[in-house]
Amino acid sequence: MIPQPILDIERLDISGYQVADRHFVGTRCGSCGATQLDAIATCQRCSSSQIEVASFGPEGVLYSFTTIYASGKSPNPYTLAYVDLDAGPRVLGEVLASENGPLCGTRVVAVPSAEALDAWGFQVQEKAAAS
Amino acid sequence: MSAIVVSGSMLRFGKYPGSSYSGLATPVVRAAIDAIDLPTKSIDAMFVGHSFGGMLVGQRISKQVGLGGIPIINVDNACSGGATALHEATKAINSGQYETVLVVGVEKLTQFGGGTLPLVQEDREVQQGVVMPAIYAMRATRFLHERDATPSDLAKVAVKARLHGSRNPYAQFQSTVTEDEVLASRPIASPLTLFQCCPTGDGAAAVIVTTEANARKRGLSGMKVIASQLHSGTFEGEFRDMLWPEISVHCAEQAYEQAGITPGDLDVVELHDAFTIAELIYYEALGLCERGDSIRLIREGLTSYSSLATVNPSGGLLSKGHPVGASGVAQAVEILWQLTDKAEQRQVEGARLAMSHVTGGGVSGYDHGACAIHLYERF
Repeated sequence: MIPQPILDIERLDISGYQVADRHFVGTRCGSCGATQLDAIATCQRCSSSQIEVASFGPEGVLYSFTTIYASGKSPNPYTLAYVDLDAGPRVLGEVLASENGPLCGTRVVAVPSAEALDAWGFQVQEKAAAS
Repeated sequence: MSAIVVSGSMLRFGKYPGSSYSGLATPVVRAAIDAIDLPTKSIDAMFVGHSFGGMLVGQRISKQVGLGGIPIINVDNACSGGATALHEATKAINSGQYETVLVVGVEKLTQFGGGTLPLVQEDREVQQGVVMPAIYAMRATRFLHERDATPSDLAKVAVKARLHGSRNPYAQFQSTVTEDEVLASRPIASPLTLFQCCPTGDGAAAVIVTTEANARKRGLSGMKVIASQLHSGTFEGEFRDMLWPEISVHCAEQAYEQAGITPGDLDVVELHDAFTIAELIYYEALGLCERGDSIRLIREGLTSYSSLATVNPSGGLLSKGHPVGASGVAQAVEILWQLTDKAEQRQVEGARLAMSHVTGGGVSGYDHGACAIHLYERF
């Protein structure tokens, strides 16, 4: 059989944040459960090729962030963060401006946003009122 | 292991928009050959590391130095390109395939007109606006969050690098800076400021590697490559501890095992300080201190001609400059000078054992794409 190229550029377009459905589409290994945003062919953790499409989020915990002042992507500056989605993969996303600035360890939620570079971003969830 | 580095040369790193890749590399190749009166025809092969040089970089150099007719291997491995070329050269010598080889690292970053390194647009995170400083900046943000550290601790790394670089005539930056100047320089990716980022520049470096038997026969001194390790890291789609770069940790562990030495034995380390935060993280990853102890090393000046290995006596990438594919070979040149007592005012006295470490490349899901570590012993 002649090998066929994987249409991964098209698949990259469908994985990631789904603005209409407000969650992330990625993949999960059917064998060991490892998750990732990318549409991989083989699990790096257990080598299984039983990879299933899965949805995650939109909530998670902010791991780290930076505001970038010097890149070719306009407009500058913009803030990016790595977020560990609940029971899901680590994803990169823009942090939307808010009164509560981003902090490591805070909970965030991905929401559609007309102002964001990719039409969505992470919103810092307000801290729960002290009880 | 019997590979001996017997000669080395490099340009002062800087901005040379008027020079081509071969224009940068040819003078250092000539200097490395001439320094030991090596007949050009005794070079059996040429390994050339680069990242943005395009097709047949080595062949473009070889025609300027009369090195035709031999195998030329061009190696791209991002920031580890030059060190990967050295790794391949060492393997070829140790296996008996060749007796004497030339290793070149060369890069011309001024071709991009400044700014951050161009990354591969196929990558999702690159499409989302990631640049190399942002990856290191997120390490720094997390470091400041988890540790009892302040931006001043980051700045101290740049101050040390520039102090060392001020003694190195091959460094792109040869002036000192203060902590305040570092923190007040313009923001690149918070919390990193301009002086905490390696500069854009061009450069070339070359070393000649031969067998121990041939070095003895020709009466050449130099340094023995006692470990040469290359790693590509492990993909992780979920949580990753950005303060514990497994690619460098594992590469270092295997290098120490190969050489039969421990981190405490080292006199000189040239590590990949592309950004200030990197040096603090690599102190721990390379075993120069326990996890959590890197701040103490920089605060107490222990890695600058003190009780521990001197880290980046050349000024490191922050001060010497970082023409990506050239850096791994330039580190070997600096260490060759250190281990043969030719480092002049930046000499680490009596240096006998040394390490070079480069790692880099941005691929989402990896810590980095490539890490190369070499250990050397005075020969």
